[in-house]
This record gives sequence, structure tokens and C-alpha cells, in this order.
Amino acid sequence: MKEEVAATVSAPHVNSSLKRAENRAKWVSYLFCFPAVTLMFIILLVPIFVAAGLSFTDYSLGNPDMNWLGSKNYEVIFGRSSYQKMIWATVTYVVVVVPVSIGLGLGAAMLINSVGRLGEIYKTIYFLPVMAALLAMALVWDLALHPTVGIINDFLSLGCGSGVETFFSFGWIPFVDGSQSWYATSCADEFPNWIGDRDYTMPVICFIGIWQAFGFNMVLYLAGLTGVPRELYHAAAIDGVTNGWDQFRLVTWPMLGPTTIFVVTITSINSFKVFDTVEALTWGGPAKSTYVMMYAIFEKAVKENLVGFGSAITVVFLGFVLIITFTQRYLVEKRVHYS
Amino acid sequence: MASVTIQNIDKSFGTTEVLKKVSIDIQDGEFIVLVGPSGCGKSTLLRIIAGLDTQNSGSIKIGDNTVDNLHASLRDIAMVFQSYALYPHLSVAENISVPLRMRRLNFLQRFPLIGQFIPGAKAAQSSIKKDVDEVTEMLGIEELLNRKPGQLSGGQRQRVAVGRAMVRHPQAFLMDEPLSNLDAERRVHMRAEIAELHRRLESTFIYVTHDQAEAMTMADRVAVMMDGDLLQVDTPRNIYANPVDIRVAEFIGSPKINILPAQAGQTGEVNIGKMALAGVISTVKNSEIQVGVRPESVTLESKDFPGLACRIVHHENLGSEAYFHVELDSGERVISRMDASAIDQFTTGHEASVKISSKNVLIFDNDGQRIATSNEVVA
Repeated sequence: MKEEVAATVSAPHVNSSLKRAENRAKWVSYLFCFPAVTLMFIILLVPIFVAAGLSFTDYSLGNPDMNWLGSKNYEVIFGRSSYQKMIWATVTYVVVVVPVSIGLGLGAAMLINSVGRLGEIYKTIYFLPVMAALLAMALVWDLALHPTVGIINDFLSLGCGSGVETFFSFGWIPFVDGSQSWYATSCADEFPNWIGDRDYTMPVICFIGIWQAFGFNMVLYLAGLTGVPRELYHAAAIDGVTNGWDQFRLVTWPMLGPTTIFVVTITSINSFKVFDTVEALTWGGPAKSTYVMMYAIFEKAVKENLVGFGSAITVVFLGFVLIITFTQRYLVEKRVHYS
Repeated sequence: MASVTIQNIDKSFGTTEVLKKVSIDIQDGEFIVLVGPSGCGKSTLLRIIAGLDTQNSGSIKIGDNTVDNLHASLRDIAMVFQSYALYPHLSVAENISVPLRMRRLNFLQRFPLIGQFIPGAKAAQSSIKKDVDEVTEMLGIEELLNRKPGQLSGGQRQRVAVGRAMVRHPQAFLMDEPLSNLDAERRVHMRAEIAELHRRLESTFIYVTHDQAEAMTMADRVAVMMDGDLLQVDTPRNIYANPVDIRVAEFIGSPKINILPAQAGQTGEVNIGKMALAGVISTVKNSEIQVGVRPESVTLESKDFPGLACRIVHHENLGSEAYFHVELDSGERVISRMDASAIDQFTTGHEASVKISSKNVLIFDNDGQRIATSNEVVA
């Protein structure tokens, strides 16, 4: 083998000029990369390292000096109950919003895909919340959810005392006491203070998150569905697939694998970043029940000027996002690339 | 194994008529090839037989059953698609087992994870594995069983697609241009392989292609379709030698048949320009007609021969034979196919004379319908 290689290599001067050209090409490629790499370093990596460094201090903006605290900030985050609540609230939000908004998005996409012309109307309706600014929408929700003048409680109280109440009290189901149901007790007493009552705030924030995210997921899935070859459905029909579930299992769901990975990643990261609705509606309360990480970072680092502590939360936040990203990379390479 | 009867199938998409009253009787165990240029309706016909499209009127029978209202999965046919349509996330073995899983396992037994604990699932699974092994052994793809379609070559994918079709012994095989995604060499090879498979399975094959060479080499009978019409159904030999329509004559055969304008005289004698075709008597008299003559029936002679004077504009040497493209004095182009040794005598730029062997001449009226000559009867 070695002799062969030696034999094919040409005269030494040709060899050296080839090498020079190769070296030059290498230099040029570094030169082309340089601006992008520099910018990435300055605006992405340096701030992360700075934040990581500050997270071990009690630095605050305007203070001339700062003290090294070691891991104390992190001990507070993982030790004090209000920050455990913060992690709990964030994880709850992600765990609820991601699967529900993806499930609804996929369902809506498949329905729209099957109804033809009418689908355009639904597509527009479901996509509207995505286009609207979430902060503005949150203000609208604030008004709608108002306990006394809000349209939601007004609407719910319309049904009281009528057949609607009887139906939704579920007293007609055997062994169910209708008078103890949520609807009956609310009619008798009052409808909830959606954003003031800690039992309801997190579900409400999640609901708005789903309402906002699922249109986006639907559009991504619609795009994914157009990429599924029609011949596969025909092959499935001939192979004996007669019902929608088998067709979904055999063709649609596997073919949407790459889309799903993308949708899960995007939705998870976006859900971790939830901020607008919390800032507009609940300010993290009541009793820290909606105290999500992004809001905590904003409150500590911006409002209270505890930059060091805010940085520590940011680093924890980054950790979560990195875990999602790496899981996604792993899954992409393992499972969904078919070719 | 079953016969397939196609009766008066009509199909239009919007205002375009794709199929016009097409009827074919396909015998049990027959290899029939539907051939025609793209857009002639052959694939639509195949999809209607499969149940993937619905006809506007007419009826399909498979064996003794009318299947017009049956879902594709209940027609007991198998189909090989042009793109193979393999499930990309499943291994070769899983792909081939899909038709059996759908039929031998019930809804619960197919369910992921818990399916294998449902009574009867184990026995059905092992019978499926046995049948899949049998098919893969027959096709020689045992070593590919655990690969995904993305890791296979075109020819291997094609075999897997055939395996998936074979595995449940369907009444008929439908094939939609299964070789068109392969390179030329592989295609010739697979042509023989599919024909051999047909002999071994003794099943009914309905095969769609736009390639007349595939049609001629594989079929028991060829059905030539054009613009939604079925022009002729016959053996490859008859389709070539005895076409009923000028479009069939032009579509089948390579190089293409030569068509020359001619006149039929008072007694039916046929003249191309000033040259009389000895021995050809047309049953249509006193009329402008068209003469079709295959390239192998056209020979070149030296220019003092009393034929049609011409000039050789191009010649192609194929080793064993050669094609000569000549231009007649009247302006028509004619192709002659002769032994390659003729190149010694005739090369591009030379003057020559065209001789037509009247034995294999076909004559058509100006609408393209075949005209009988007195010594033969048109089918």
C-alpha cells in the first residue's frame, strides 16, 4: 500500500506547490469564517461567560465593588422555598403547555388538511393569536377574566338556573351529587377570581399559553403534512389499512417525526421563556404560584438590581434549555432521520 | 390468482376525459402490459383497478366478484409503485410484513407494547415471520432484513417493494412503472427478473409502462392506450406486425416506423410517388393513403437502382447493425436498418436509392385506420 502511494505521488516541486495552494485555501476559509465567529463570540458567548461569572457574586449595577459569594446564590435558588416554587411553576407550565399545544396543533392540522376549502378559514382563525403581540393579548385576557365585569364570568353565569346548569353539574350521571359540582357551587356562590385565586392562576396562564402556541404548531404540522408522499397512503390502503388510526400510526405519525422533534424543541424553549402573560396578569403571584423563571430574572436583575442573583437564575435557566437542546440533537440523530 | 375484467370504464377529471369506455378481459395468470405515452390514462386505469380512484361509470371484476364498491384493502390485489412507497421508518422485514400484520393481527394485537400480550398474537407473529422469510429467501434479500429503505440501492428497494406485494399471495399484481427509477442496465436485468417471477408465481400481472421495449419483452399481451382510448390489445408479435391503427404502429418499434404518403389507384395498386409497390393491392381504391414500413424492410441500393432516390444524412453504427437516416427527393425522412457491413458502401453524404420490401408493408387511410390488402385480413 505504502509503495503504491509513493509511486503515485508526483515530482517534489509539484508536490510542494500543491501544498502551498492547499495552505492558502485553508487560510482563506478561516478568513471567511472570522467575522461570523467574532460576532458570535462577542454577542453570544462572552455575555454567557460574564453572566456565569457574575452569578458567583453579589454584583449590582452602579455598585463600584462586589463580593465573591461562591455558590451561595445557587444554594438560595435550590434551597429557599420561593425559588423552589419558581422552578416548580416553570416546569408545570412547560409540562402542561408543550404536550397540549402540540396535540391540539397536530389535531387541528390534520382536520384542516382533510376539509379542503373551509380549512383556509380555520387556518386564519387559529393563527391569529400567533400574529398578535402576546402582551396586548394578555391585557385583553385580563379584562375578560375580571371576576365581576369580565366577559367570561358573565357568560358562565348566564347558564345558572337553566338546563345548562343541570347538564354541567353532572347530577344526571348516577352516583354523582350535582349540587357539589363546580358549576353548581359557583352558581350558588360566585364564579372564581381567575387571576387572583392561586388555585386558578397557573391553569389560566397555561391556557393562554396553549391558546397562543397551538396555532404556530398547527402551521408547522400543516407544512409537515404536505411533505408526506401521497403514494405512502395509497400503499397503506392496499396493504390493508382501513381506519384512520392505523393510517396515522403507519404513515402520518412516523413521517411527521422530524417536524415533531422541531415543534417539541421550539415549544419547550418558548414555554421556558414565558414572561408576557405573567407580567401583565399576575406579577408572579398569588403566593408565587406563577413565579416563572423569566419573571424571576426580570424581577431580581432589573427591578431589584440584584444582577448577581439574577445571573444565577439565568444560568439555571440556560441549563434547562441546554438539556432540551441536547436531547433533541440526540433524538434527531437516533430516530427520525430515515435516509 | 384470478382473471380481471374491465368493462366500459369512463373517467374524467373536471372536463378532461382521461378514460373513454375502456374494456379489457385479462385472463387468469396473464401478464398484460398497459403501454402508452404519458397522459394516456394508463396509470389512472391501474389506480381504478386498485381502488385508489373511482371511475365515473363502468365496472371492474376480479375473479367473479364485482369490486366497484370495495375499498382498496378488500380487493385482494397488491401494487408496486413507481417510487416503491416503502415505509421509511420500518426495516425491510417490517415493510414486507405490513400487509400480513394488517390482516392477521386484530386492532389490539397491533397496538404498540401491549399488543404482544393479547392472546393469539404470538402465534400470528410467528406465522408472519415464516411467510416473510419465505419471500425474502425467494427474492434473495435475506441479508437486508434489518436495514431501512434509506440504506438500500434502487434495485434493492424495488425488490423489497415486490416482496411486500408477494407476501400475501394476492389475486393480482398491479405494477405502476416499477422500473422507471432504475438505471438502464439495471432495468434490463429487472425486466427479465420480473418476467421470471411471473412464470414462477403463475399469477395475474397488470403492468403499466411508457417504455415500449418493456411492453414487448415482458408481456403475454400488450394493451396500447392513447388519449384515453384503448387502441389494441394483442400479443407483442401481432402488435408489431399487425397494428390496427397508425398510432400503434408509430408507438411500437424502435427506431420508429417510416410513414410515407402514397396513392391507391383504380385497381388498388399502391404507388409511392412514381414507385409502384409490387404485390400490394389495397382494398380501398382511388384514394390518398399512407404507407407504413418498418426500418428493417427498407434497404439502400446504389443510386442507379430504380427505387426512391435519396441522400444519406446520417448513419449510426450499433456494432451488429446500422441505422441510416436518409432524405428522399420528395423531402421525407426515412430510416433504414441494415447489417453493419452496409456502412462500407453507404455513409453520410452519399446519394443512394431506397428499396422497400413490399412483403411487410402496412397501409393506412388518412385517418390512420389500417386498410386491408387483398392478400391479408386485418384483425
